[in-house]
Amino acid sequence: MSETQKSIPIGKLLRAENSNFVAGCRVRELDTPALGALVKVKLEDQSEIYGLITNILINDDSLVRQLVSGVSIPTEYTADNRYNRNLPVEIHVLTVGYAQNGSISHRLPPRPPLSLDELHLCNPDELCHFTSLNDQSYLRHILRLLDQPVEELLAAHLRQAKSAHESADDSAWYEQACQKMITLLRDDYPRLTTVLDVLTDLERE
Amino acid sequence: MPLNYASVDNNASCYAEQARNWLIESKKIARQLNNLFDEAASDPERLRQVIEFAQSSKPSLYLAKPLQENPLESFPAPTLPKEYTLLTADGSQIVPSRHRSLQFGLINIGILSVKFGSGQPPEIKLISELLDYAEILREDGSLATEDDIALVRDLRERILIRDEISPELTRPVLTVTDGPLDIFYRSDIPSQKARAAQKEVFQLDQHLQQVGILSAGYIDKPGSSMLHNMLAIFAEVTGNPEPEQKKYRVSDRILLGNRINPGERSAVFEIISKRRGDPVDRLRVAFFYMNVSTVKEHPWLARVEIPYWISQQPDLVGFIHAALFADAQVLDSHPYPYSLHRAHELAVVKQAEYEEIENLLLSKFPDGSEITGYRSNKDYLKGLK
Repeated sequence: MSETQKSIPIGKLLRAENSNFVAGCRVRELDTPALGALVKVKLEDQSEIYGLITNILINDDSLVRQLVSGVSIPTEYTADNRYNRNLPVEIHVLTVGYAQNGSISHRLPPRPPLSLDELHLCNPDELCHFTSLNDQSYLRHILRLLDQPVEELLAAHLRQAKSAHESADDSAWYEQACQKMITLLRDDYPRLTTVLDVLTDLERE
Repeated sequence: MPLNYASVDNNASCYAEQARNWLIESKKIARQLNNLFDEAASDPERLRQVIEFAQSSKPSLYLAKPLQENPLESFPAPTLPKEYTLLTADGSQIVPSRHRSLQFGLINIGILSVKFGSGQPPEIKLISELLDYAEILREDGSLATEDDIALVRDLRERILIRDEISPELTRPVLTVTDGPLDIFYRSDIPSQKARAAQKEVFQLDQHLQQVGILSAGYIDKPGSSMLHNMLAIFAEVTGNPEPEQKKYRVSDRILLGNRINPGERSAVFEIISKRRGDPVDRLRVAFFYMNVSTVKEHPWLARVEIPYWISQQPDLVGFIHAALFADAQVLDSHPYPYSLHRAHELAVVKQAEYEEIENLLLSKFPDGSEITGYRSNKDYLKGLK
């Protein structure tokens, strides 16, 4: 793997359960993670847990609330609150699979990652590899999300994955992914319609 | 039940009535003092002479002395330079307690260095110093008190600020600490130790003056009555009737509250503080009051203390006024300098951290060590949930 192809550390685990986890990162590190991106956490036993970023949360505290109501804030103090104060940005991740003994599964891992484990952004090779396996069955995890803009997450993820696959001369991947979504949503017509709307939007880009 | 609320409630009405009466009486005296202030300020030179006479004849004094400006005049803040540096420090401490398993003291100081005009986040530093064993014991062998450790903390704040000064800092440079500029004369501290501390503060200021660094102490909601004391001396020497009730000391805040417009400052006064045994080489301090409110009907006065040498240069006084007012306006619903608040936020030691440090120190001793001993039973039981 070349230097630029290495996965990028973007935060450390705050809390976790089998189906999802939350990592914290500093604002300085916020330019890399994005909604829908594939990320992974490497555990001590060398197994890896994969997930998709479902939400990025900017926290506040009483001082920030105080500043928000102020008339003007010097640039230096805005930077102080963003870069110096100990308010981590929370990255919420949906678990979509794991790797153990060299093989990748799209099921939930036997154990969640532990606090302070490092969260990495997967590089394009890893993204292509993970999303090609097991008939793209990892996509089912996205559909179990409740109270979240599932269609937007799907669009964000598919756009990144489509781009990575096309760069690797695999233009068939996206079509297979769309087919998979149609199969998964065949009994939920209203939702399928919304997802197809989003996919149409994506294709127009 | 944590309190006998019924008992407190029985006395609450009576207390409220007493407080209301106190306020009425204070306002009456404030009116008398305001009239006296108008008269005294009409001839500032005479007022200065009266204070100088008191300085030479009274053994102890704590009052305000007007300098060049008319004592009742107020001044708007000038425009700030586009680039300048604000260096603030604030500290907190752990005071040794005989009730704990191990007696130790610690001071924790936060320093914030803001280069205005750079667009860069401030540089922050946190200095945590475990005190030497000798520093937590007084000469008579008893444990150091809250005041002893606070004195060490105040001195360290000033020294660490001095250490932060470098030629790279964008001029002008203003250093700010919370509280009076001179080390507060705490009654609990042996006078020799207090004198040594005051002397050190004096020397530190001399160094700052040599390198052209400004310093200020910021006092929020000040309670001192230096103007009342000044007017009492004026009344005594000039034969004016002084408001009689000594119990009702009218704070400077009350006297000046409606005389300073939002954003403006009072005239600069010198602090005349005289006690038996004061060192000769002691920091000479001046001050002004600043209305940090933006609403005329609700004045909020803060006292800003500055070294006397700065008070002699109106442009420097103006810069300090403008810089601190602007910094206080960042938190405009509760105006207080943002940089000082951040230094405090950095420095404050919470109970959990106290216990972590204690555990770290305890781990340096073998089990059953005679030094570590046990927590007092009282302290143990207090910790029960």
